[in-house]
Amino acid sequence: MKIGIVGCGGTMGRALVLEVMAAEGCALSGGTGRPGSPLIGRDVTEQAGLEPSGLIVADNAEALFRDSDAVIDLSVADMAPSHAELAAAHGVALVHGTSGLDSAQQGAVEAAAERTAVVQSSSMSIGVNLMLELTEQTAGVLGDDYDVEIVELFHRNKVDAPSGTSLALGRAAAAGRGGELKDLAVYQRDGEIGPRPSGAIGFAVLRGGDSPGEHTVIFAGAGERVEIAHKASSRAIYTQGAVAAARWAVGKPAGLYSMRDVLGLA
Amino acid sequence: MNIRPPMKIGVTGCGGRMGRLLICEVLSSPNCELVGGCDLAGSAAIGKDVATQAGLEAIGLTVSDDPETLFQSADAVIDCTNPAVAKSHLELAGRHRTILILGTTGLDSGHRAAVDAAALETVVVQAPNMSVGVTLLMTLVERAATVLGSGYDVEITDIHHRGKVDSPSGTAVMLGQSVARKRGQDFGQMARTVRHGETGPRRPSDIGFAVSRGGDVTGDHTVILAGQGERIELTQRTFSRALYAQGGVRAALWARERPAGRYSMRDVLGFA
Amino acid sequence: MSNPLPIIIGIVGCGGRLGRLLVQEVVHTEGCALGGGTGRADSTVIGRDVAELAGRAPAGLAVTADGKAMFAACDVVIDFSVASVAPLSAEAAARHAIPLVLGTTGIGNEDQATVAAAAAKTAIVQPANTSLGMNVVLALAERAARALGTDYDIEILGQQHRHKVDAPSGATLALARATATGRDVALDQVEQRGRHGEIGKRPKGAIGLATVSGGDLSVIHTVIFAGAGERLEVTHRGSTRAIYPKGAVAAARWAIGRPPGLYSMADVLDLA
Repeated sequence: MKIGIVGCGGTMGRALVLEVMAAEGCALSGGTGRPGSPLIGRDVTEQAGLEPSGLIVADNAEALFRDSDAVIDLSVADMAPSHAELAAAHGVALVHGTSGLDSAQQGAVEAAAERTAVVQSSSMSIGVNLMLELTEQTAGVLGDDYDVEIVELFHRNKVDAPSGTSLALGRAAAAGRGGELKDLAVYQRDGEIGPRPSGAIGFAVLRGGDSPGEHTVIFAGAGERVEIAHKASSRAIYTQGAVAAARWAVGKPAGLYSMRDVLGLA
Repeated sequence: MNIRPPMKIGVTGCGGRMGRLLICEVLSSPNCELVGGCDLAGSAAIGKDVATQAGLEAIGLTVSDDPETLFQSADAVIDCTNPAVAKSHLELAGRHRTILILGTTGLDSGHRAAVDAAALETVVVQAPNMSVGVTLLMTLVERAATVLGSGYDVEITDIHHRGKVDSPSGTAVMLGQSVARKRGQDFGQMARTVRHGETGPRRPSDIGFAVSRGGDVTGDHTVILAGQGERIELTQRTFSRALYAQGGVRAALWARERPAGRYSMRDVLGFA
Repeated sequence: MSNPLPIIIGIVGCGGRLGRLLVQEVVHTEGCALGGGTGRADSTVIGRDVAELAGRAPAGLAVTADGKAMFAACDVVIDFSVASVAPLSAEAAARHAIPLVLGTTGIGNEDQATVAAAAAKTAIVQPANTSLGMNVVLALAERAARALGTDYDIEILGQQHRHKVDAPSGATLALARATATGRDVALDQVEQRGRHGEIGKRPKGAIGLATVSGGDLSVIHTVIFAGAGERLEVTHRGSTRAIYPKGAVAAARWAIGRPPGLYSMADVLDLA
């Protein structure tokens, strides 16, 4: 199975290159980088720390999509629409895990899903996807008498806040109560905040060190708390999940899928 | 319109900490009527007014040392005592067909026969932990163990105040048992409650326990499912024992007119 | 050898939640006696017995609106009431040449100047937080910040109950200031409060503050020092409000006989 990586020069991109090279039954078809990046023209695997493969980092993804069975995109939000369109045009399965898409970018991904198989998820690990399910269930069982707070800690270079996973957890908690996150989310607390609104879902974002991501959902009630936490110690859980998603998606009919479909959790 | 009379509830071990909380909870619940409280012969509570020894206004019932009368007159008895006494209460519950909410912890396999015998005659709700959060935690742990499979090691931590005498806690044991059940294994074989010296590598099927005792911690439990590259931690913390008392009364009311048998808090709360 | 006379302690704002806990603490601490209590002139507690209001046997002392008599009769006064009263208490303590333990938060700059001026004439202990554990954590936080340098990112997470109307908590700010002191920087130059949207990479040397709000009792503060490959976390969990009155009364006893000056809880606990 030929798998291509867009944005192969970033931290996640390099980790994905290593993962595809190590995965049985998978071959790396190529990699791309941002136009103007110093990585353009370099050997894809060499820049990821392996022996050269002869594949060159391109600044245009057209050839990559043409030559792949599946493409994994964990790059940046503003490239999402063009990658989605290329996947649809070439009938290539797309695994999309970029966080922080705005509504136009999300719309482009969904449009592509009408023509090819797209697996979209804010997190590729089985642990996080389990956590999403447990969070939704717990929110439904405990109801509004328990306050929901989501705390995350990520390495110092993560530029968006809250993380895609935190937002997915917030949506899961809101859904568990029959509500919408956008009506309930509290992202900032500073100064006179007033009493906590009933049903609010609060976010606390910590940044520091090199953590690949820790998330805790706290359900705080009168006299007790229930907490669900996920702690990643290595990015491998995400890259393994992404490659598993790519393998699953090839040959599937057009549609928008999630990691829950890939993992059989639905 | 059929208005039911309040349920007659008795409390054993009513001079103890849980006993007094239960007295307060029963007295403040609209659907319940406190019919009496008893404690062990020789206890300082004997002869005192059941309510004043729990910090409330007198109600004219005195703490007795005779559980038989209590089981005779009550629809349900809530029992948070000790393992030895609980055994005799199981026998009384069966004989008088009184609902028994068994909150006593530290019961061992020797009690199983007594529970089964009582459950033939009446409703026995076996609830070493009567809080909503812990009961929910069990279902979360079971789902996690099912989804994550044997590549994830299960470890259970239990932190309680300095006065708790059983270890691991009944709740921690229950959590471990539910994991073993989901994995189709024998909990007795898998549980590792002591690690000391050269233990050898961890077997994948082990269920490890780490027990801490100190301060005034009412009860914290965490189940860790640790895999390569990630771990999931499921935690419940109790801050107020009043939660347990609320759960006990809720269980008693739920048990009204149920068929005889052995039940748990999951049945009471309706969790799958 | 005769027993020393008890220290006579007055409580400003004795009708409030913390005020009542302070009264209880004074009443059951050996070597201390209640000297009086004050409340707001329009409050319903005026005229009631100070100790009875706190759930104890009557002391024969009535709550007054005018603190003059109380300051005159006491060896030391504790004020954890409201910010507007703070300068009045400070001036009264200075006038009567008795120490004051002033635990009120949210005091404005002008009023703080009044307090500082009064501290030139009498001993005033102004604790940011009176629990022994939290004060140890503050000292550890400063020490760790000094030792670890800016390769370790500092994040402070405060968790508070749902009814608290301001954020970050005083303790969160105190921890942030302690770590800033450890790095010899001013907190307002480096703090990051609230992260939402495209926030960019974390600046080296920043100190992040975040707040979790929910449930009832939990007061938890964690200072995280996050480096590459390791993390240090120091957490304080308060499980009961009683830890604060204990420290306040300890501060009151410590302040007797001290020379005029503005002191902190670190002075009282000898942690400076």
